[in-house]
Amino acid sequence: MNDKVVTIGVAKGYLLKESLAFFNKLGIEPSEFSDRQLIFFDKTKKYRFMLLRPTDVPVYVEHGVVDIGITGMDIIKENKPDVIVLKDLGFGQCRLVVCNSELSKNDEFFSGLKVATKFVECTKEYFNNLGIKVDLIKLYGSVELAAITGLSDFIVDLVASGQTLKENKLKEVAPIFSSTAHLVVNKVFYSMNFPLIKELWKL
Amino acid sequence: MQGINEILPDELKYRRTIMKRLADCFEDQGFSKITTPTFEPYDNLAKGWESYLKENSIQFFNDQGLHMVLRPEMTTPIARLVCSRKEQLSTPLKLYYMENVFRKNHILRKNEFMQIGLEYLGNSSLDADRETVKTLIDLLLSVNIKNFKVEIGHVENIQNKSEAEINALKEGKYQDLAQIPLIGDSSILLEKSQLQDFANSFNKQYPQYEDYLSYNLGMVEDISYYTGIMFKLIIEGVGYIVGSGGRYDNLLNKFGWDIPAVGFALEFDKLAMALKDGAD
Repeated sequence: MNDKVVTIGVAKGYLLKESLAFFNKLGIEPSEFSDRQLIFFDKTKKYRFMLLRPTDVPVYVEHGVVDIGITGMDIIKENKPDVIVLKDLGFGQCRLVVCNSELSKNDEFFSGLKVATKFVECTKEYFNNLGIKVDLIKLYGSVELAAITGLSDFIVDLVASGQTLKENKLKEVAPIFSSTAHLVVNKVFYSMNFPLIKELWKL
Repeated sequence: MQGINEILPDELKYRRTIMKRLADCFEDQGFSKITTPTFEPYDNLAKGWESYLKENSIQFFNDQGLHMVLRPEMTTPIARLVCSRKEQLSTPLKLYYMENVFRKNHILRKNEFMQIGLEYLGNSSLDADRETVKTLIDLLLSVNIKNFKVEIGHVENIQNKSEAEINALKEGKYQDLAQIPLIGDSSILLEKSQLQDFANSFNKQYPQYEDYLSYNLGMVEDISYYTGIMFKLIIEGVGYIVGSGGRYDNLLNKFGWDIPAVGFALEFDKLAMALKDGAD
C-alpha cells in the first residue's frame, strides 16, 4: 500500500509558499513547475501536488481524490467537511470579522439587518448565537463593495493586515474568529497510512 | 434531478451477480434474509436512535395525516420488527439484509442507495463479535476484494477520556488533541483489555484473517449507541468508509425485548467502487 503515489492538495495564493515549505521539512520537494500547471510531482515521484482553490481543498480530501491537504480554518468552519483536521500549521493568519463603512453611524446589531458575505454558514451561526435574525446576502468576491454601496448594512469577511479595509474606508465592528492554515487528511488515508500520519503530526 | 437511483440493465445484471455472491456468503454462515417496510410511522422508529432519525431521514405525512419516515438504515427497523414478534422467534437470531435505504445529506449525493448488512441478535459473547467480523471479511473475499482493513475500536478505550477529547475525536478535530490515538496491529493493544481478548480469540480461531484487522485506540462512533466493539471497513482505493458496525446491546430493549446485538452495514455503491478498480 505504501508504493502508491500520495496526493497532496495545496491552496493557490497566499498559502502556497508556506504550504510547500511545510512538506519540504519531510524531504518532499516539488520539481520545477509553471504557474499554469495544476498537477506536479516531487523529485522522488512518490508525492504529487495538486493546486486547488482553498475552498476546494477539503472537498477533494473528503472524497479521497486528494489524500492530504492544507487549507484555512475559516474554510473548515464554513464547510464542515468530513475529514480529519490533523494540525494547526500556524501560518496564513487571518480573522473573520464584521465590518461596516467608516461613515456608518450605526454599529449595533439588531434583527432585520442586511449582512453580505462569502461565509454564509459562519455568519448565520454568529448572529444566531447572538439571537439576532439577519437577512443574508451571499456574495462570491469583493465583499467590501457591499458595505460601500449600501447593498448591506454590514459585511462579514476575512481580514489579514487590515489594509484592504482601510483603503476602502471600512471599519471593523466585531471579531468572529481567527484562522490559520491547517493540515487535513482523508479518513481512509489516515487509517491506511498511520506511520506517515505520525510523522506529519510530529513536524 | 439529483439523488435518484437509476440503473440500466447491464449495470443491474452486474450488481445482481455481486449481490448473489454476497447473499450466498451470508447464507453459508447461517444468516437468513429479512426485510422491513420501506416506510413506516415515524414514532415506530423514534424509540431507537432518534437524533439520527430526525437529522438524516426523509419524512412525510400520509393521507391520514400520520407522520411517516422512509427507513434511513435497516438496524432500527429490524430491531422494531423482531421485538414485535418476539413470541414467534427464538435466539440467537442471525439475520442479513440487502435493501435500499433513504437519506438526506449523503456524501455520494444519493437519496436512495443499497445497504447490505447483518444483525446477530441474542448472543452477547465474544463468539458473536468474532463471527460478525469474520463474516464481513468473507463477504469481501467472496467478491475478490483483498486490499482492505477492518479497523476495530472499543467503547472501553474512550470511557476514561474527557468530553472535550471525545468530541475532538468524533468530529475529526485532532489539532486539539495532546496526542493522536494509535492505529496498528494487535501489538498496540493493552493487556487485559477487551480488545486484547477479542484479538486473542479472533487470531486463534481465524489466524489466516489476522492481517485484515487493524486496531484504533481512539475510535469514537456514536457512544450512546455502541456498547462494545466498534469497527469500520476501509478499502484501498475507495476514499470513503465503506461500512461500519459494532455491538449495540441497548437498542432492542427500547422496543421491548432485552437481548444483546452486534452487526454491521456496508454501502453497495462504495463497495462497487473497489470492484471497478479491477479487484474483481
